Amino acid sequence: MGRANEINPHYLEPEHKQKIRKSFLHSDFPAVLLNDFFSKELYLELQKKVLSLNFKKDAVILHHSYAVSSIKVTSREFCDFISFVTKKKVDEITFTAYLLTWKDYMILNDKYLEKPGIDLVIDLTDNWNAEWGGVVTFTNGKGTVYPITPTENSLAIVERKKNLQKYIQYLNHYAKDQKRLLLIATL
Amino acid sequence: MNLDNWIDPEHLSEEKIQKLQTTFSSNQPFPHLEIKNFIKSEKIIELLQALNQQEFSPKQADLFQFLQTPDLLYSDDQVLKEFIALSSSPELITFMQNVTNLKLNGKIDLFASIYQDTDFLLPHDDQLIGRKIAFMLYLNDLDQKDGGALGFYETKNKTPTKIAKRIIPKAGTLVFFEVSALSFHTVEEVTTDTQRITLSGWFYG
Repeated sequence: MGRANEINPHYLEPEHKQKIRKSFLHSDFPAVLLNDFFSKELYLELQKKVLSLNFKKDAVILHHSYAVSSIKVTSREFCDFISFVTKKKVDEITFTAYLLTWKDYMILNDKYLEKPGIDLVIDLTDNWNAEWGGVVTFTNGKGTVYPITPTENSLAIVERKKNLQKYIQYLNHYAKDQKRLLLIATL
Repeated sequence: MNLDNWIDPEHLSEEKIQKLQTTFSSNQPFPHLEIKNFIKSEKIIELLQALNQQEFSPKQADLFQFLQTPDLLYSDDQVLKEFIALSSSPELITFMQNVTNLKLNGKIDLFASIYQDTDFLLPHDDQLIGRKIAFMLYLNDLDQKDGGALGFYETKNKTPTKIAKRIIPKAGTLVFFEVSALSFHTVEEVTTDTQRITLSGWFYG
């Protein structure tokens, strides 16, 4: 990443950018989900790059099971867009890359509480069916849940206020050998 | 209460109880028992018929996905009332105390659960104030290929590391374990159309 037109031009039009920012900053649940976010070419390139990362299996039975790696995004266009929408200046973003397969999960655990922040979730999984699990879900722990619909080439920007935590639903056997690929960063 | 209508008397003899006591305390990775054919088969059929009339609601969170009834202590079904009377009877409470050497106060919780294809319960320890013994009565048979096994974790420094024992549900089998900081367990995902039907709850103390 690091050239012009990496993001879907629709999202870069001033009118749309304003709408996205307004939607993010003024909703009860500050979140936006942007489909077809990257250009098709860049999406495929990013997906390929992430899949080639050196993933390491990480399992803490009472909290998570998945493989992880990391990737730094320095794209000016991307960072400027995130800065504009969130009103938080960023110059580079280090994402954790998650690779989940059957039986993987991330659950809530008091020992792994996340501090409030702004989560960026990039979905790099083609044709994922939510019935297979693997849905990134935000919850306030009091029965209110906000699942992020799995959609390839989407970006979710979610402000996690106090008491809002996230988990990734258990991946069931219908996922078979397929891989769930996500990039998640917290600002 | 006469337990003989529900339980084969061979399980309740003094000699048997002594053996169960030894097995319970020595079983790994934490104290537990699996008693096959504990409840008579005709009673299992009656329980299944009774549960067929109960309402099951989907329960879904980060940790689990299955169907469950409300607390059956408030059910007006005659067979379920009998089972509750059995489970909280002084005779059965005494039996459980003798086997586990844990002091119980007679209070129980009781739910029925159905795990269907893709349902699961991820690892946890069941600890909650007052819970002494977790129990589950299996009402149907599953095979290894169906998934749905109850898994007990071994621990290192009070942290679960790997499943040390799996119990595959068989109708009439009663399983119970001491609830503690080490009682990490899971219900593995059901992976076929065979339902996993159980009555489960806790004895309090």
